[in-house]
Amino acid sequence: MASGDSLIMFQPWSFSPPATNAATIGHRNNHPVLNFDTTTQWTAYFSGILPRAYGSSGVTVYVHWMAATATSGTIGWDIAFERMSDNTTDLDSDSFATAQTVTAATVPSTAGVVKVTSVAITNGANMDSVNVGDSFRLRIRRDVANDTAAGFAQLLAIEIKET
Amino acid sequence: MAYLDNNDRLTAASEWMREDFGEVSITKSEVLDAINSLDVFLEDNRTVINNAIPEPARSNLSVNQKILMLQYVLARRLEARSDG
Repeated sequence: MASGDSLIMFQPWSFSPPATNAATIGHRNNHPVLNFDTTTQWTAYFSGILPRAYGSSGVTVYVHWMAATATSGTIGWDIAFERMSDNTTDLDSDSFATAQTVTAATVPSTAGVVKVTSVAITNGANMDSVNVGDSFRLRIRRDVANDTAAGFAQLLAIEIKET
Repeated sequence: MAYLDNNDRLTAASEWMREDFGEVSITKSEVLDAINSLDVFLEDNRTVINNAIPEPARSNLSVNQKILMLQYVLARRLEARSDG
């Protein structure tokens, strides 16, 4: 697959919640969203299989989000991959790679306007070495320690693109 | 002087920010500042508030009963504003 092509997309309702501090399902004008708190770090997991067309040049993860109510301040995220490789990974414990930061960005001046932010993640350890045909989990958390916007951040979609 | 500890104030700010009463043009640290100031104001003015309650309620209700009464008044004021 060529650089710049989409590999996989995730919608809010395809998430898996952790046992504690899970993002919550919500709606905004009939659009499903995942709500992420501004004080406590809530988490969502998405599972997938890296497409066979992946060319091993790393990925860029695009996060499509809105501020629930905030019209000032910033919202940021972090992303981590967990490879679930054949005959190797024991799923009885988590094994996520180091979280990659989606730099906090200023929210739109109208709550409900979509903002898209991204982080480029290099192939290898930062992707937990997820390779073609591997199943994997993507973890997304709001960067509550560094962002400043009040209220929920609402996740609308995630796209993984080959860098 | 504050009555709530930092954790309680943070909890109050967090719960307030989980509500959806329209757009909010201040940051989460400014929300916490506002919560802190309201807590200080209520503590500094507890005598004034208590004195606003007429007898025999003032002397016969417990502190918790009077706080709950104030909470109901504030809740009804919010509903009235939302209705209007």
